[in-house]
Amino acid sequence: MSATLESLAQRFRRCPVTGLQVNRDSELLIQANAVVAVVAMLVGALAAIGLVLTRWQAVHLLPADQYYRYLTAHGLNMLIFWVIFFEMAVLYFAGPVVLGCRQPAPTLAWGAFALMVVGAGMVDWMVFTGNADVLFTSYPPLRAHPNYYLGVILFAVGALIAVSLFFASLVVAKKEKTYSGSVPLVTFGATTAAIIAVITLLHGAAVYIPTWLWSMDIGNIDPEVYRMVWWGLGHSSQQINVAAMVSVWYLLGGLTVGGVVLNEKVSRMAFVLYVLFISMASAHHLLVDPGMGSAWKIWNTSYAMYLAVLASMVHGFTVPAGIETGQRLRGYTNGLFEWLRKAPWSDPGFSGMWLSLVIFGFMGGITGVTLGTEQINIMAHNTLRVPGHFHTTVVGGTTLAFMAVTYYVLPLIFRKRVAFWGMARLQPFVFGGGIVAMALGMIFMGILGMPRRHWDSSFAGSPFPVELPPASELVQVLFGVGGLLAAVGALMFIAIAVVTVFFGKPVTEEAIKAGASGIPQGVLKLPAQVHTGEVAERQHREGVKGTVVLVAIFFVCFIVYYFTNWKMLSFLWKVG
Amino acid sequence: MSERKPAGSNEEKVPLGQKLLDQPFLLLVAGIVVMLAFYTLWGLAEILSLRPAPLP
Repeated sequence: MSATLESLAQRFRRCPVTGLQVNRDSELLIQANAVVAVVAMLVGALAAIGLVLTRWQAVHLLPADQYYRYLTAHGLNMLIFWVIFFEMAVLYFAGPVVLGCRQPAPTLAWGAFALMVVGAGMVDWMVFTGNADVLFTSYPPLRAHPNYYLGVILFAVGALIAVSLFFASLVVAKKEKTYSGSVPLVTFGATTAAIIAVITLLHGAAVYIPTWLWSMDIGNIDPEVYRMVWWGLGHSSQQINVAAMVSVWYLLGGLTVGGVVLNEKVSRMAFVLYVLFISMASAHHLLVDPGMGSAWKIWNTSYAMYLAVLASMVHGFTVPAGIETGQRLRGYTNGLFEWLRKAPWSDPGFSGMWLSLVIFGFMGGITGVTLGTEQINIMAHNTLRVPGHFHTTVVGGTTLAFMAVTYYVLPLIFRKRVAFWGMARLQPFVFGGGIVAMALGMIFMGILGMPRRHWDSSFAGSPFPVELPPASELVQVLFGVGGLLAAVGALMFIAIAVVTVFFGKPVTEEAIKAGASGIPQGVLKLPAQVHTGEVAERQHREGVKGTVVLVAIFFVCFIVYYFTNWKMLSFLWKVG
Repeated sequence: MSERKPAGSNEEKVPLGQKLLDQPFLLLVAGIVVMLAFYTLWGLAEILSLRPAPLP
């Protein structure tokens, strides 16, 4: 009996900062997935530099074949490998660690990790050896080497096993009574991400297994069916990001400033709206496809998608409102925005999270809803506006949020002090600023008519003349400089993460007491996580005036951008 | 980070909505069914019901 207890005790440690019971198996899985995620980001970021310097026509660096190869590698490493490896780390944290239970089937979990690594390695090998110049979407009749599709399938199977183990951890924790009542909101958000991951991976299996067979001359592929099913994977995979990112916002709000969840019911219902409706937004990739009818398009991209947009707007209000409440409870009560001015901006966990929230909401949300409108989509489809939009959601939103939480994962899970602390404090601003400039450049280039996925922005040698306004050259500079700045920000993050993991100084209780460099302020002194008493009651009654003003500004921006697009549409289709 | 509960909340009746949200597998099935019904199967039906275009 005592040997069993001793063995159990050795598998767990109590985090001195958060008080969480952390099991060693999950901790190692989090570390391994996070490290591979950063490696994938390095590959994707290096490819991004080549792409930026090619689409910036004044430089036009790469030849055509290399451009499409790098574009394929960039899409896969950033949109799939970086984010999904990191999301697996989030699931191992939000399940067994937050719930304080053991890791279910640790050997199987390592098997899943190995499958994902082998699959990702096969895909990158095929791409960089020129056997898969098919871009991220690999639309038929473009055909890659069979091992490319096999690599994707192995990666997806590994991810599906890891997601299943997250659900298993929910069962284990409930059965072994490691928590009471409902799971914490962070775990509920991760459950949402896991459900969307299952939807995504089912569509992935449905599309990649027949395509793998087709690549070996077995069977046939209908391009329209492929497009429809593939986007059930391609877009839904980015909705896993959204749910995981929102969970990270709530987590960091609590860790950095003692952010309050204003209303658990409202936040959880918003996550349920994601579960039910967000994946259907995949249809907006098919808005100009002739095979689908208007009813299908309008239901999936308007009525249903707007329910998911409503969920994002709920989180877009409750997260900053919770932060405002937390800050006001810490004494920053003057005026509308003292809570924001005196927020811990030198903590990259806070600054990255806040920038992620603003970039995702103001740029990603507004441009996304506009692009998802069937009539407006006809102007924007296949132009640079589309990647301009998703670089503000997936990169400015998700990636920046994941970078921000890494500054807390390093001291709390790796138990290392963040290296190059001065650079780390600057990094979210460099990366976020670069992404904003680059995405604005892409959006304006798209509005001026510049297509996406095109090697030569000057259309030299085109069989018919293509003239773009001279202003497009100016916004190319904005795009190029912004893209390079974002790449510098990404490389700063990678350098910080790698040096911290392999050479970082350990986080000790003495270092925390001494306020040592490289430890975020939320770890040095965790803000109060539970607020009770008269002060808390009064604050709830007084409300969140600052956030209400921010939300009003958001709606004004939304209305102006949305109606500007309808005005532009009226120039295309003159009525009367 | 958690909602405040009044004293004696352990004996409080759990609302039906909360009971439903505490069932991750129910949410999983609901998410899959809605997506499959409205996006995937309806989309497949649209494509498969297209008549071949006459060649010029």
